[in-house]
Parts: sequence; C-alpha cells; structure tokens
Amino acid sequence: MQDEKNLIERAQKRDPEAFAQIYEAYFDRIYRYVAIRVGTQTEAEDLTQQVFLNALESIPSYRWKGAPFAAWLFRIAHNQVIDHYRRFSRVQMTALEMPVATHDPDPVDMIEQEMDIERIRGAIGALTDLQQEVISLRFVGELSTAETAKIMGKNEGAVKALQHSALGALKRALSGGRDNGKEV
Amino acid sequence: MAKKFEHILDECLDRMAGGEAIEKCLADHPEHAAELRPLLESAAMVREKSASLEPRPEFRSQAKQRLLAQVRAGAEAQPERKRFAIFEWHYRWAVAVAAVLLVLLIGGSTTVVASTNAMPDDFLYPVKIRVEKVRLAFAGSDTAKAKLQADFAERRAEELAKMAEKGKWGKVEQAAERLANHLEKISNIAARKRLTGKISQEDVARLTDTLAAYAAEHPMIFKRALEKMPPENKAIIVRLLERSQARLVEAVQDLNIAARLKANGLQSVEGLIRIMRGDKWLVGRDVVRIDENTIIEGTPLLGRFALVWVTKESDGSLLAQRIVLNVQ
Repeated sequence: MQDEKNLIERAQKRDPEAFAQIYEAYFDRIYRYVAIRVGTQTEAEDLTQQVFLNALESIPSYRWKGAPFAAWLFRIAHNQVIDHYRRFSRVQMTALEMPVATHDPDPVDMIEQEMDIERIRGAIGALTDLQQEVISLRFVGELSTAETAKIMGKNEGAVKALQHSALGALKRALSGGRDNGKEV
Repeated sequence: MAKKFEHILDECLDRMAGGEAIEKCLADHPEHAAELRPLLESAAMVREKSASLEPRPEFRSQAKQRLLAQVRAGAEAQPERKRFAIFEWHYRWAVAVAAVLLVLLIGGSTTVVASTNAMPDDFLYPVKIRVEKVRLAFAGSDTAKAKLQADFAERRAEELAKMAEKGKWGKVEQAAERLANHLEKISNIAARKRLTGKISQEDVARLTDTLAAYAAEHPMIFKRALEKMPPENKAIIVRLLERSQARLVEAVQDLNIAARLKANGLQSVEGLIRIMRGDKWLVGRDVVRIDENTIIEGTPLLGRFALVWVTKESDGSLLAQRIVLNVQ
C-alpha cells in the first residue's frame, strides 16, 4: 500500500517511470474490463488508451485517503464505457470483431475462444446494469470486494449481496435459461 | 452466528482468485456446496475466458510510448512550476484567478492578446491554454461551449500545421491530441443534444456550418503537415486525426438529429432493454409502447442498449416511433 502511495505521488509529479509502472500494473485489466463491455477491438483499444490519457490528466487531483487507486482508475474506465454507449447508441454495428489472444495460431481454437467470449458477453449483457458492473469489476477487472464497493458507491455487504444475485443470473444466462434474473 | 451465504460465497471467490481450487472451499462449506458450486463455476468461467482478451502487443507498446511521451511533454511544459512545488495547489488557483481577471477585467491586455497567437513552443502558450479553459468555464450554455470548442479545435489545427513545418513532432502530437479532445467534447455535447432535442435551429445551423467548414479545410492541411513526418510518429497522429474526423462526423449527424427531434416534437429515452412484455418494453427506467408503426433498427433482445424516440400520448404513456439498437 505504501509502495502504491509512493508510486502515485511520483506519478503526480509526472515521473515517467512511475507512470510506466502504473501502466504495466493496470493496462491488461483495464483493457479486459473495457473489451468485455464493447463490441470491437478498435473500440476497446481506443477506450483503453483514453482511460490512461484521462488518468494522466486527472491524476494531480487524485487524493490519497486510503481509497484504492484501482477504484479511481476503474471509475474512469467505467465512465469511458458509459460515454461510449451513449455515443454508439446511434451506430448500427453489423458485425462483431473482437480478436482474442493472438498467441494461439490454431484457427479452430481461436474461433472457439471467440465464441466463448461472445457467449459470456451475451450472458453479461442480459444482466441488470448493476449486475453487469459487479461481474465486470470483480471477475474481469479482478478487483476486490472493497475496491468494487468504492467504485459502485456501495458498502461491501451490498456488493456481496449484489454479487450473489448477479452470479445466479449469470449462471442462468450461461445455461440458456429464459429466466435471466432481471431485478428491475 | 452462522455466516451469511453471500459472505461465504465472497470468501470462496477470493480464495479462488488467490489460486485455490473450487473443491477446497466447497469442502470447507459442505452445507452450502450444492448452491455454491454453480456460482463459483460461473465466476471461474468469466475469469478464465475474459483472460484471453489480451491487447495486441503492438497496441500495448504504442499506447505505452504515447502515454509516456505525454508525461514527458507535460513535465517539460511546466518547469517553472517546480519553484512552487510546496504551493502547487495555490499556484494553480493563482494562475486560474489571474487568467479570469485578465479575461474579465482587462480582456485586451497585452499578455492575453499575445498569448492568443502563441504557438506550442512559445513561453506564453500555457497562458493561452489556461485562458481557453477559463473562457469555457464561463461559456454558460452547452451550445456556447461547443462553439468555443470548435474555435479551439481550429487553433489546434493551425498549431499542428506550424509545428509540423518546424519539424517539432512531439508538439505536433500534443496538438493532435488536444484537437481530438476538443472534437470529442463537441461530440459529447452533440450526443446530449441528440437525446434531448434541446437546441435551436439557429444554433444547429451555426455549429454545423463551423464544423463543415473545418471538415472541408483541414484534411488538406493535415495531409501536407504529415508529409515530412517520420513514420514512427505518423501512425499515432493519423489515428488521432481519424478519431477527430469520426467525432466530427458524429457531431454533425447528432446535431442534425437533434434539430429533427426538435422540429417533430419527439423526445428520446435510452438504456438497456430490461423487460419485453407484449407491446410494452422497459428501456432504462421508462416503459415504452410499441405499435405497428414503430420502426425498429437492429435486433431487439433483453440486455441490449436501445435509443428510443417517443411521443407522449394523452394518457402520459410513451409511444415508440423509432428504436435504434446497439447490436452486440
């Protein structure tokens, strides 16, 4: 914790090395969090890049009060995704293109992976907004319950309860159940 | 007191995140194992599959270089601030207040006038940027802000061209980044106007004229500016300019939609489709009614994002005229 505090203080003074470390620590997780919520690789890349540029711009105003830095950064990512949805509600997306990890050259495996991702994205998409958020933050962004609670503005107990209902709904959506556990 | 189920579930999830097998936690909570297993397996599946969503290595590396270039550029742009390190907060306020005073009280002062023409490699450039921020803060309406953003985008385009003439590629990139941000802000304002329709025809005409003139003129300027640019810088700038262009097109489209909404007395609602029951859908927090005349673009499914243009009926219900779905 102390190390992270020190790192952020250095980043606030525009220390490139500190930024590089923050980038390395969070880039993949932020990318995954964004990518599971949007449809294409280009969008995921643009949004992820923008998250870090926004973080760079805003980091001088970040105040260390014991609140996790991850929560602050994911909050930026969350806002970026919401803005994206607003903007892209106007666009008809006709095809999905979200290449997954490219280190596996076997096309059959790649297609299977893409189908798995689409299945998960579809299942997450069938949840309520709050359920989507808790699943994305906890299991895609790999955040702790405490960090998730900070981002969502809830207490940990509420996040645990929401996580329970979200996983139940997700399980039903993944198994193709028509009851998708909507809680309006 | 017995632990609540959601606490046990959370404990098992944390243990799994730490690398422990599902079976181990189930063995510790045999009375809940049947209920826990499918939930833990669903979480494990999301974790495992989403881990395959890796950024392209070249994108990862380019994005990092670009971010670090921004960090360095920012650090170089503010060396004089170091003297004020202890009073950083006060310093920012002092500059902001000074800029406000300059703009509001002595708007024609030499400093402000000189800074208006400052280029990114000039001493007064930070004053120019600060004055722009103050003008935006005092702009009032969204439309006035959009107009100012368009003016500032115009300035960034000029700066980009000048810096390219001088071969200052770092400054070119900074100008391109700022340009993209101005157009992004315009696009966001236009998107809000599209949803609400709250914009006058005159404002739409004025803004679209400004943006159209910008779109007509600048591709050529950029093309010339980029001709001499080293290939390693070029890809980033081209991407930024493409993003700017896309935002510009979206903004013009949105403003036109906003104008049509206004002209037809339509309102819009948006959100995820939560319930579809017969002719009634719950979109976000609004129930909308569908009839045989409703135009639906895309495939409506639960969980999809929908923008719905509605008319308010005499009984207060919302009748959907057109639904646009974000097909995912």
